[in-house]
Amino acid sequence: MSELLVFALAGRRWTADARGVRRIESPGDGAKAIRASVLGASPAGSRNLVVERSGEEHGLVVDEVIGLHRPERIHAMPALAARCLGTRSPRGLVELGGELIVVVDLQALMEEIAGIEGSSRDGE
Amino acid sequence: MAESSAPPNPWGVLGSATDPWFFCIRLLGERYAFDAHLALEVVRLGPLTRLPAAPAFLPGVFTHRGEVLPVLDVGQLVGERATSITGRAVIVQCGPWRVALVADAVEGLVQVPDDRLEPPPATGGSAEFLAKVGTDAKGSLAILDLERMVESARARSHAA
Repeated sequence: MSELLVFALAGRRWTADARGVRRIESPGDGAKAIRASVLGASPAGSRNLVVERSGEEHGLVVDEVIGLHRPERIHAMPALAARCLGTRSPRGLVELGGELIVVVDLQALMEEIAGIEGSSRDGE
Repeated sequence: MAESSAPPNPWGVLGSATDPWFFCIRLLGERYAFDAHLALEVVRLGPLTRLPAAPAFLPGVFTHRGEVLPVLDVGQLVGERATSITGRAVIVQCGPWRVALVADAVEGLVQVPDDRLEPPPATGGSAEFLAKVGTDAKGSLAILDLERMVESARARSHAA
């Protein structure tokens, strides 16, 4: 079972596959820094999780990087719930400290954001 | 001895053995019910985990007996008003979907004679999901087509 990166964003904890995160840097150090998404907004966040999407680097700004966690089990997203969501980025759930935390596919999240940004530009 | 052809009647005291059984909940000040065979368990709702970009009728998911279950707010589906998520939920099996329905209160099993059941009104906020309406000793009852309601919730999913 691969390690999950645990981070805080908009007042709650999230996780993502640590293998998908290229590096963690300060916003503005290099990769594009996205401060708002379906996960919430981090206007003052100081850490940028950099992932690769279509050969380019993109970053999700988070409030805090908490650490790494190797889960015993990752629950699949309930199919009915997954079908109802307005995003495909949640890929599962993991129990951590008595709480059920969403596992986010950061690449899928970046794809969705890029798709929204592209649609916005087309509409201009 | 001839075998009885009537269905089992474990609750046996009142009503005909062939009268349909429903599971009754209270929502938004009204009594709603659905086919009793869909109800699996009444549980005390644990902490919910909200999901990103979730519709209002999906307040979150929770774990029960090692399984993650989605929670549906029937009040949001039938009346577009939120149910208070404070206490109990009913776990139901609707076709392939196992979900937890939140309710303001759980009444439990009720048996309604066929002659007390009528077609639902043609119009009205919850008419889309009503199979029948009925009355029992406690008053009126709106019988939900739960499978249609859950399928409708699924069909409201956002486009890929």
